[in-house]
Amino acid sequence: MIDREKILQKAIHSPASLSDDEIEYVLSDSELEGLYRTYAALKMATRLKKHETAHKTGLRKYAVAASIAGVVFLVSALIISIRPHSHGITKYDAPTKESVAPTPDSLAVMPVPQENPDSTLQGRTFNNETLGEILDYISNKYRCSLKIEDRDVLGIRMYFEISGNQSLDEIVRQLDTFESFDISIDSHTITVR
Amino acid sequence: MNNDTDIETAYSVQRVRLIRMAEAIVGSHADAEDIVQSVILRIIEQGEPISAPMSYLNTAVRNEAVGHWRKLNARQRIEQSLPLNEEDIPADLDRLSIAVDKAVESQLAPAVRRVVRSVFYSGNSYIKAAGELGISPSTVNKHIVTALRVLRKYFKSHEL
Repeated sequence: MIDREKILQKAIHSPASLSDDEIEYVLSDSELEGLYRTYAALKMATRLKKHETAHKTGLRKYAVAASIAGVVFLVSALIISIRPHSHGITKYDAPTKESVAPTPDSLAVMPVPQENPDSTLQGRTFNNETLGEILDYISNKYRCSLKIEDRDVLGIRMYFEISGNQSLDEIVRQLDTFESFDISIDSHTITVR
Repeated sequence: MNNDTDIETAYSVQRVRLIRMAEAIVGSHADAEDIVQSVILRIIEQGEPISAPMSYLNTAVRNEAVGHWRKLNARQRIEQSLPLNEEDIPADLDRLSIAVDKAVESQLAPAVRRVVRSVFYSGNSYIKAAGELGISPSTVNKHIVTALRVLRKYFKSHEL
């Protein structure tokens, strides 16, 4: 007698070990096929998710690496800036009071990365974020008002990029290419329906 | 819906999402990248004006990915955990993702949900999931089958 559960388990864990007869069985048994379909849907949906997680993990790694690099850089810069000017490498220069206590001036010469003074020029990438979050960002950045005629669409998750120099009209036009909702702009009011 | 953004801009903006969508359909990241690449090259070579590049790209990549999926036989589909029937590939995969998340959150018991999250979302093996959750691999197995039964019932009643 064919053990359905066993075949389902094999289809999930070691699909390569399924015999042709067992594959036929999966295809012909509606309940088994239904469970496999659910499994495939879960896989498809979580494949979309995994990318997002991997992307975030990758960014987190970069952020940690950047933080470590920043600390190392600052410490190195600090050491260099408080080190007395020495022209020989064989002689040990005992630290002087002046050298161990850096003056504000000596710290000021450290090349600290400059932030872009105009943060509005920076773009933003929305990876699997809701339309609501994207619209919030747009309305804050471009100081425009929102008119939401269908609140259901605010939960739609999407990938969307806004570059720093894009105009509001251009952003709305790009958003309007998504088929799940309609969006337009008139007199600095964005309407979503 | 009109859009005067050119196709290359649309591609650069949507590339990651398009690959993600293609991979969900064909089950292989490398194949998904090839699909997206071939679609964009074909569109550029054709050089025809496209009024809504983002929607166009989305549809073109989806069609290409479904075409690739169609060529796979049942064994390959099962081995890559892909749907067996075309109607199981939703037109909007983002919506499927949202629906699955919602079902996992609202329909599964906490213990089952934890197992599903560990195995499907984090990609852990049953043994690793069992170790992390402090349960036996056979309990993980049991919870997965329970989850599939509950979700199937839910999807069926919601026509997903």
